[in-house]
Amino acid sequence: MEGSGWRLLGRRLLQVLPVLGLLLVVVFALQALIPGDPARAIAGPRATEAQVAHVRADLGLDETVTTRFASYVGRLAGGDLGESNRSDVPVTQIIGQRVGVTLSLLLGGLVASVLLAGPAALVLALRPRSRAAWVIERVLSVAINLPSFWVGLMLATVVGLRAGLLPVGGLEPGLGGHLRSYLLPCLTIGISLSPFLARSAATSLREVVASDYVVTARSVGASGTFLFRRHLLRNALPPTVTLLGFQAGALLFGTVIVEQTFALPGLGAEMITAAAQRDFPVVQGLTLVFGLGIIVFNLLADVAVSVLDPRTRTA
Amino acid sequence: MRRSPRLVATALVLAVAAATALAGCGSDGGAATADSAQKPRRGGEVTVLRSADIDAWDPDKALMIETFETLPQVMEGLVRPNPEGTDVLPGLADRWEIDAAAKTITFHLREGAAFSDGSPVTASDVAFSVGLWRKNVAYGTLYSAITGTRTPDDRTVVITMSRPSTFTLSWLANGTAVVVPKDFDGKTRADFFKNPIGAGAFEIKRYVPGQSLTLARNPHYYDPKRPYLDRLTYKVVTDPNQQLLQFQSKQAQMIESVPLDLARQFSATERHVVEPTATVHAAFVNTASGPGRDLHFREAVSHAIDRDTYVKSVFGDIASPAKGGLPTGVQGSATCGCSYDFDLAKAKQELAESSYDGSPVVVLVDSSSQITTRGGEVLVEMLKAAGIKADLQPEEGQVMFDRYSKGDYDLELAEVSSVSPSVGDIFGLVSYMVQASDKDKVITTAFDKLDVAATDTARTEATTTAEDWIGSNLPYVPIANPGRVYAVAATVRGLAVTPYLSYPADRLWTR
Amino acid sequence: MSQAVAGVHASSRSGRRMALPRFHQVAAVVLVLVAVVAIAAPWLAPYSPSAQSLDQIRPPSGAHALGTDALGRDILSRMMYALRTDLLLIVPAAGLPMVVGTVVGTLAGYAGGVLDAAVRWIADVFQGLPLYIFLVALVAAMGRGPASLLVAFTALGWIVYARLVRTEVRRIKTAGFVEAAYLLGRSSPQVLVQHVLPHALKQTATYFVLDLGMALQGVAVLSFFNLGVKSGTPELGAMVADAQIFIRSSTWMVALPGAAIVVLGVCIAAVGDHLSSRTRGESDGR
Repeated sequence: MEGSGWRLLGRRLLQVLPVLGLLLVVVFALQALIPGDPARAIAGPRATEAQVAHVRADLGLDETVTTRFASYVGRLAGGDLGESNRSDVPVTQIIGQRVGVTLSLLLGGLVASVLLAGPAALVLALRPRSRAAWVIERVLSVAINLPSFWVGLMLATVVGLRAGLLPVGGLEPGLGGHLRSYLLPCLTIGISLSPFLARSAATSLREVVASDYVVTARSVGASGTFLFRRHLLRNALPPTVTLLGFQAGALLFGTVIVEQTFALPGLGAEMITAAAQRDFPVVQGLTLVFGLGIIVFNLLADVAVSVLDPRTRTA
Repeated sequence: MRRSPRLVATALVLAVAAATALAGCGSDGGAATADSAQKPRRGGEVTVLRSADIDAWDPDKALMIETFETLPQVMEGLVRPNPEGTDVLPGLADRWEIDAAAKTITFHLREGAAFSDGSPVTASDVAFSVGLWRKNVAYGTLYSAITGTRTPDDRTVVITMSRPSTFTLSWLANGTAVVVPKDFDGKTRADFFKNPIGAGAFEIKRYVPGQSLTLARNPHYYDPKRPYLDRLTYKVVTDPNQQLLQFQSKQAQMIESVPLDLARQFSATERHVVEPTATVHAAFVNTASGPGRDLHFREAVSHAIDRDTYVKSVFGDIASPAKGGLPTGVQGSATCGCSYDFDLAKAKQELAESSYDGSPVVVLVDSSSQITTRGGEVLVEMLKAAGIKADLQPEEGQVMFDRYSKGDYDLELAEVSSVSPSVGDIFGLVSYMVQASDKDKVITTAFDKLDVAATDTARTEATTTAEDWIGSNLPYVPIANPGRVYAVAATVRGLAVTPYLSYPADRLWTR
Repeated sequence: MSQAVAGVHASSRSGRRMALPRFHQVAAVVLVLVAVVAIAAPWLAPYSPSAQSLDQIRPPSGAHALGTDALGRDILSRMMYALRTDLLLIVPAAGLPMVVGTVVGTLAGYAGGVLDAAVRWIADVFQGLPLYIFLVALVAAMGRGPASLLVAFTALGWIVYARLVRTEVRRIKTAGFVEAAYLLGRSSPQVLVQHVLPHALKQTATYFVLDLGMALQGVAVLSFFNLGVKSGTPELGAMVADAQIFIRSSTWMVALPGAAIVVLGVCIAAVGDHLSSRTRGESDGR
């Protein structure tokens, strides 16, 4: 990255600060929504009165909201996300144990989406009137509405069980086992995300194809590969990456769903369990982590766009 | 038995142990005998799927049936249950004597019993462990007959009791009467139970709370033949569909509890059906506040439940309509002289006589259990037919327990199960529940009789008194005695489960 | 939500060229039919949706056109009532953000200044929150049920509307005919209602329709995680979740409600896409 890239990153980081602040406020405010005694909710159903009193003091429930918020942020700054009210395990430790699975799913899901969406977008953009494009368009409009838990269930049943090709769930030991275990879940994410990507990429591609430059280049006999690499990709990618940034929330939630359907021990599965158990510290901590994840993801998308498309740097 | 605040905890804990136990249970004598004809093979490994993790390694925190089942695999107790669940077998103690007055039990520790770090199990380790049990926050009361221990020599422990309690010995077969090294080997209690060692057949290889537990053979186990398996992995998989998929794809060889809908999808050879179990599926009534205070209302609920239909609808054929309120199939089980009949006209009549005002009653069920959520839907419809409006509220087990203990419910659909080979442990629960209404202390007196009963006849008599009282006062409305289904791959042999949900994993082997 | 709306939005541009001429019309008819069935469920359904019997897990037959579920309830009747449940959930879940967003956007656009800046800033930062994660967190805090769904969708969904309406208001505020209206002595609220809102409403209707699809997915997913409607309530996502374990032995139990979700979603998207392309066509032409 050139110097201007770093400057951009710095500027974006500054823009991120208010978002971060709001995220903290929202996560903090979740407490206020708990019906009944928040101290009891946070300490958990098994806590003794003394423990509840301790939590109450910790939260400073008699103090002003601002003081409480300040001390909450203070604890966060010190890396203290509280403890699970079920297992007394620090939330940071839970996150540490599970974040790897979620990150792997994110990465794998992205790769799967691109692999699925890329060819589809090319067909839609370059052969818009073909039969294939018509079929792809129909498939995409159905796929966009398929609940992804359903897709996962079908993949596990058909590919995993009937064909016996891949694990139906859980993490198999070893690197090979891990890779095999991630295939179907990542494919599931890919299937739910790729329709958005494919359509967006197709639109951008079409605009590029229709642009004067390409028309001219074609007319003077520039080769297809050259055109594709040099111009199509270069011009069509940035909007698609921007869209990916927009889709970060959907992508993250996709991991939550597949972790649940494929019994993978990631952050999302933990979030769902914690929500059912009213393990509030864990829910709060994970919401924060997911929120941060979105911010970082958007930041990366911005930077990627600026690298791909120099024009935006001055913007 | 003395009433103490501890009993409160005990009672509730048992309630939860049962309520959250969607775990499988029970034993099928047939399979066990068929296996004994073949010679067990040593080696191999088995993966078991369960829907909930153990609560903790510290027996004080034991609530879930999974905990009662798993702890003794690593930390064996003095005695273990027999597969029928009616008596105790030698564990770390290979024999014991009870004195004539039945006020001391002298345990002789087994030659060669050793912790998995190689150090021998001595009388002082056991004495320390007995002290630990007695201090147990949740279950201390059930050890209340014990007054202390003597250690005449390194391999003999004498447990002294305040009364000739026959219940105590059977209670020692519950999975949380674990033997640990004296003074936790110099560690703090919390540290020790983070990664405990014991003298059980297995040692902990790897434990990821909430996900999986891998046990490996204890190289110093007293029995040179067992455990047969090199390795045993318990995997926590909450989604029943995922459980089925992993079993069918051979990623796992056992499922500890198969929801009955799924049970139909297993071949007969893979189903290990346990019937009856020491489990009572019942509607627990909040008798402290709300409409449940009124006996007429409770009668109405009881008469509104068509138990035959309920059993077919919720359990398939794997259950029988309840004939009593206490567990069946364990020491001291007896049936009630009363009957729990379905009679809609009677239900409506009782309801009319009750103070029920027509507002919806809150029915709590455990959302993680297919059986209770489904039972809840059936119960609600049956109540509706009798004129009782119900609001079904599924909650995760712990949350439900919390609401139950706060009295934030009207009815709670739950299952109570013994955790030792005696009906006595459930007495603890019942006598706590009925404290307010049992003015004449019928249940308490009955338990005291059961505690010291020397013969089966005396036990049955004590239980019958309690059953009759439950039948006429309905502190809870018994619905069914459910059976349970284990899924077991054809390659796994040696599974024998007690009616109260415990199976010795050291006897499992693979073909 | 806004991010996904952006996705659908982008997609619609390509979708327009590809769409079969009358696809959206068919979709609209299907949606109307669905609404009719939902409203008339009590009269149309052959059985009570909660009536149980021991005829459990029966395939489609004369007595039960779509078979029965694990508790012997008629699947057809349950699906009819489920449409009712779902519509009653998703219409407010998509409608409330529209109302809130329109009001906020109008105020911000009209008042301008500090208020406008504040709203823009809040919208910018709120946009970064992940909708479904937020939804699950809300369920953990407030308990399951429609309240969490409404709060989550409203908290994040108003932004799109507010932005849209604000821009429209500002554009029109400076346009000649509003000034003319002022000259004629109309009060500000009158001007707003008569001139500004009608322009903005067309586009908000588009977003509303697309949000219906989002809400439908949201409800289904929550039910799947057992965090949605009360158990026993007929709801499409819950029906899929409940029947999951029969997927091999009795596929129809899962396939029917699952297909209903997909068809409903496709139809909503088709109508939404059509609306959005038309709105854009108008504004382009202006």
